Amino acid sequence: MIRRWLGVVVSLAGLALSGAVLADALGGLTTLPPKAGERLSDWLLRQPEREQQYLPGLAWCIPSEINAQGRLKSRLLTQLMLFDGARPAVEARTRMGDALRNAPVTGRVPVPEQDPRWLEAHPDKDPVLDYDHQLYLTRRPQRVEILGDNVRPCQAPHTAGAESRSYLRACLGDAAERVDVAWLIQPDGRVELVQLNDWNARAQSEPAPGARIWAPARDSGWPTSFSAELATFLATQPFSQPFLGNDAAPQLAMESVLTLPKQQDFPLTAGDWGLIGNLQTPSARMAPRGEMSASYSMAKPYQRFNVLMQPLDWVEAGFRYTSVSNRLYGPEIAGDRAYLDKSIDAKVRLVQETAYLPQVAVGFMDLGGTGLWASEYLVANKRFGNLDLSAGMVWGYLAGSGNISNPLSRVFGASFDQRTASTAATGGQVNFKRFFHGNTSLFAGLQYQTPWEGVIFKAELDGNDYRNEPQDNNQKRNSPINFGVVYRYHPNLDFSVGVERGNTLMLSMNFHGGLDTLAIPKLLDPKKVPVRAGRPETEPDWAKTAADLATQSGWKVLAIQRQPGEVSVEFEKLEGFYWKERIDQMVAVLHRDAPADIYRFRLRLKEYGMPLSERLVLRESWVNEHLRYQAAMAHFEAVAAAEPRGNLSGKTLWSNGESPFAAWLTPSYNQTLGGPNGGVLFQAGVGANLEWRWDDGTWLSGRGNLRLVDNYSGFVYDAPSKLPRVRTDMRHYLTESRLTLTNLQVNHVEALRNSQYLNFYGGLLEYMYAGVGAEWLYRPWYSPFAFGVDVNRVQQRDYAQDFGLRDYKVNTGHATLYWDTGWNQTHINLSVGQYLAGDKGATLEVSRRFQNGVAIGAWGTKTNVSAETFGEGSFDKGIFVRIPFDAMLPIKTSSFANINWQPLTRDGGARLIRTKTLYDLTDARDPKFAWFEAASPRVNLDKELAPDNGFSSLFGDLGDSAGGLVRDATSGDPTRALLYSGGLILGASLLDKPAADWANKHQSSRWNTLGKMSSATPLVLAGATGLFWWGAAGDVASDTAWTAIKSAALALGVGTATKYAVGRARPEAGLGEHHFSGFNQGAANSSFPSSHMSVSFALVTPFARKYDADWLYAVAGITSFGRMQQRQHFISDIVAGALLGYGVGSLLSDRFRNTSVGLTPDRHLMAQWRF
Amino acid sequence: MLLLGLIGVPVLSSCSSDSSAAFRTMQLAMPADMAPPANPSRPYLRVKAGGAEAYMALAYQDAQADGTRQEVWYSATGEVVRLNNGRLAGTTGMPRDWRQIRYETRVEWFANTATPQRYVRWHDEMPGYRMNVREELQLQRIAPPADVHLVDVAPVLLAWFEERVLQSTSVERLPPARYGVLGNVVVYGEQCFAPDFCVSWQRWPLPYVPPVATAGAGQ
Repeated sequence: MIRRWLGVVVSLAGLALSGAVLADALGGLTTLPPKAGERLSDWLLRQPEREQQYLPGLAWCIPSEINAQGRLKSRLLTQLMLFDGARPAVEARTRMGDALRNAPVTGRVPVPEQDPRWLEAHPDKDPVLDYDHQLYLTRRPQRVEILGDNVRPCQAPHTAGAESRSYLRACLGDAAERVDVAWLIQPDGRVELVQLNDWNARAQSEPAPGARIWAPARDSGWPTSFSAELATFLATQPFSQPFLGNDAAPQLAMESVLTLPKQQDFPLTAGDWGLIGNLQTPSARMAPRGEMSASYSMAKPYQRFNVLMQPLDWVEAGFRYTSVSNRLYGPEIAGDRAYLDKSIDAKVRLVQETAYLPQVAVGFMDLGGTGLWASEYLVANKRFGNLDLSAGMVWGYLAGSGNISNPLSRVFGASFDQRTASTAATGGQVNFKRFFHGNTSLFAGLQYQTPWEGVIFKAELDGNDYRNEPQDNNQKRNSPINFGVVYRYHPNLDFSVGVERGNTLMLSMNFHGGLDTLAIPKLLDPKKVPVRAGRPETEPDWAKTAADLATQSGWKVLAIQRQPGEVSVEFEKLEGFYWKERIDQMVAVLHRDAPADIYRFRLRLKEYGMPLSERLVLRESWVNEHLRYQAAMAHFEAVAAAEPRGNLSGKTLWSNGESPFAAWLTPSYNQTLGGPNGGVLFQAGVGANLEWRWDDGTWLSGRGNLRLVDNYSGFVYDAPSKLPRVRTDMRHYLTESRLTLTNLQVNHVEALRNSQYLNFYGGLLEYMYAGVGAEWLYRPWYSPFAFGVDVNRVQQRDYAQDFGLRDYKVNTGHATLYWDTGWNQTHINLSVGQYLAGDKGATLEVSRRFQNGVAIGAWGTKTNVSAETFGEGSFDKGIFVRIPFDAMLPIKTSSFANINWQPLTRDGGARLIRTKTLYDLTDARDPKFAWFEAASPRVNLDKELAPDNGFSSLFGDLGDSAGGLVRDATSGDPTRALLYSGGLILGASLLDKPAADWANKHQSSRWNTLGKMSSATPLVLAGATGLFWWGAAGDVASDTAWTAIKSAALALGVGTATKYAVGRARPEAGLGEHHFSGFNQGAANSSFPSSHMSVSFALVTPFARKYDADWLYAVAGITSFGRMQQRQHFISDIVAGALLGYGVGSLLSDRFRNTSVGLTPDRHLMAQWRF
Repeated sequence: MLLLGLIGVPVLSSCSSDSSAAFRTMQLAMPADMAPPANPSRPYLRVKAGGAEAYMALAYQDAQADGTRQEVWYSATGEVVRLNNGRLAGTTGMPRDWRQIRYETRVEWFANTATPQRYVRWHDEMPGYRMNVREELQLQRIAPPADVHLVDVAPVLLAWFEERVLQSTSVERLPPARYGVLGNVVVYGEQCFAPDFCVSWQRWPLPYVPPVATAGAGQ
């Protein structure tokens, strides 16, 4: 109560002061008063002395903010009164209290931008003024005010190039060394927390003239909460007079601020194992939350492919494939392949670095794999400016040298000196009894940011002597010191080179980025409907309104109704993630069309007849929100979520008369990573989908799949199983038939009372099982909890995935609790029940969701099947990443990429795959769908913008082109393009054998000469293109040539990646046209597609399109003869290469005909979704 | 008189309000590499900034206290480029902006081409609040360069100037700015804001001579 009264008193005092004091304090330039309804831009443009204005210092003060700022001031004063003890110093508290009491409550709020001409073009950022608003402009100040923890006045001259540390040094002297963080308050009211000391320095803004810096020393006793609120309050203060003292307060001389070197972020880099660390040794450092990295490292005889994720600030986890080049799987599995091992890692931060304490982490390597590389470590890091030191202790594989005795054995007994052997044969069991046992070593490392930006030097003392390598694969070590250099070519791409063991070259590449920042502008979306203040006077064509609503939202519009003063619209097929944006675009359509007497819109969100949620939109508030900038206190939420009501009794303005039958085609892709069958097994094809609605809640759905391309010739291995083969005969299902009926089922869903939902279904439920089932779900509206039960009676399907059935039948079902914990956006699903093999147990799935819809998670299933019966892996587990395509594509879409990493497919803990679950169908009841939104583009200005103006680099431009290419490839109808291309390649494959036979018979010297000449075509084309680029035929041809060069480079890159994945043997190898072996050494030089053809077509296509010269394609086509005659390619390789080159060349040509309309880097894919 | 002189002159229409002029100008602005703007009498600026290109449309000529006019150009997405006497006077809304560019003295292009001119420039950089960056510059005639983003005109037809930074309070070392002058009009310019972010601009169509100032028109 006392505080409240104090607040009122302070507010009143503030109001009284604001007029008089501010006029003096913020004055300096004569200003004209605002008119009611006037825009800020207009006001700025009609002020005199415009050239004298210091726009960052523009003060916009509004009465509605006075109370809140008054309460903030009273809170600060109250906190000051409540401080006791010696810290903060009594004198400092007194001075702070005096200054705060004298400070006016201004009502000042930041303005998003001060340039009036820019504001004119952005009305949503241009505040509308009122007669009681006060605005002040000043001349450019020359001072920066520094507030140290002693709260003594100090003003330093603004010095161009100086950062906060320089000013603190000038004002506080040596005491500045004790300041770790400071609050930098810019004159435009923005507050930045800057990190200043050697151990925590980060890149930061400079203080602008008129800025203030609140810089309490680490041991000064000023609480962080007080400092943050003080900074907020200081942002409301006039800057033309000091907060402490007055104009007569001492000011430092002009040359007193010595500009210190700029502070930089310390680069975090990954080691050989993909973890943030040195080379072989880990560190305690953590990547930013949401980061994901995919890295490859090579140090003979090992090659490692690592995927690491950072779901929380303090947890790093991921998986790895390790290939051992001099060890094979063994004849019984896949005798001719290098041994490939899977492992899971986790690292947890225990202590965060402070000025005195190092950062400490504990980590576990090869947790759930075979345990060949299993290691545990405790590691500490301390940063000293550009140097980051790490030291730690490791147990297990990385401690091969055993350079110390295990200290834990002294505490817990001698048993800690022994470590049980790894479990290469039946790995996957987390053996807690091995943790921190056996060999123990100390290790140390350093990372140094060299003076050359992007170049980081690393060195380490390795704890492994490589004399106890798994699989009797000991390596010679000449030195325990490893060293290397990382080159950060791009903020998302690192290359490393090093020397390990004193005798082995290490090479690595790490592609990393923030999953939480994935975003791309929706350039290919329908044009947004502009928001205008006026309202139509007449009834619109509601059919057109409905069509526009469907176009803008991507949802299905069911009906438009009218009640008094309200228009309601029913939607279903509520797909995609960024609902806020979709709803905004829909409301723009409704506002454009709805007659003037409509004051509210109601959006009714349904699925299959089930009312799920509503959005109520107050029209006037929504328009205000979009047409004027509003300060925080004046902001009114115009869109509110509401629980759905029953049917509305209004006049139907329009209803959907679409056919109840729908069918459509989609591309299909399926892959399996790792294992004895080879790196990646994949199939690609086309899926045909159908949906036939019988009534709102009852329908037939189905999906067929035609497998067009695959590498299943290498799919030979079936895992052994001691359980019914409910999943391990997956190979038969995938390879038996090219044309399969994946799903065909009848569904019925119904909304019961009290947030309950019911679902019945029967038919071919998934690719392996047919049967019947039912599901019940209780999901309260906007609740973090939901609970559901599903029961199913299923029978295994024939391998051909037709209508036939096998003998195996089982009852399966689960009770599932869904819980959005609210803690770090973590979501938990816990299911208990009976699995497909009849085993009973539970599945726990934990995931972290980010605002852009990306989710990272892990699951594990433990059933009553023993680890021995389960087989390799011991229990079912995996890691997944779910990425909405909305975050990656430049057009609204409903799909998402579900990347599951499951080390092994086993029969224990296997679940039925249900096409639609009630939990997914009722997503609209989840408050998260009002929260998901596109990540803000985060452009690293120093590093990510493409070079220009004579300073361009080939690779920077190529990256830019690649970004645009992805966007363009998704425009139009990519499915159709894919289908046509696939059809052409398949058709061409019919000629593979005859053409190869012909080539075998025509190998005489004359034919060879002709073949070699023909194969040289791309070289001739490249030379001509180079001449054009050089300017031999003028600027326009030079530009086209540059496009051609980029096309060729991209086509070559894409082609090589495809070769590596497909691994088709060349005709000259004599292995036939169906021999595929991708993802291994040599695959990058395999047959499919032809690089000669792709480069030739990529080079000629931009010219052919620019100059309408189709004959150039014939020139490029000459290449094909040589490639065939030389027995380098099959016909289908040649066709695929030509299509690839033509496609890339066309897309890049078109792209440069339609570049951006603005200058913001909207086509910088890498800059915006950094992965 | 001073007040009148400081009011911007909407170029599109003498009776348009400021905001609608800005909007209409944005609608006229268009992507680069589309067909050249349909109305060749309308002044455009072909701008390339950090890899993106756009045709910007002229919206205002804001009168300045020294009697000059500052051209205000808009892109279709509302970025602003200001030019004064052929030089950048400021940008807003680009990934990297130079704001409030000030010259100590007005620089005449052909004042004395035999000897280089020296002068001082200040500017503010955003984001990052790098304010009051002071540069000592030297302007001199150069031979027509080959590596410029000039379109549809040969560099040899223009008189070329190079503006080199002699001394700066910024730690970043920038390549010299270059200007191409046709008659008395600067029709081409390029200026780097950072080592990896440069802006070039070219008047479109060529040659473009700004209309005679009509102070206060439409106000």
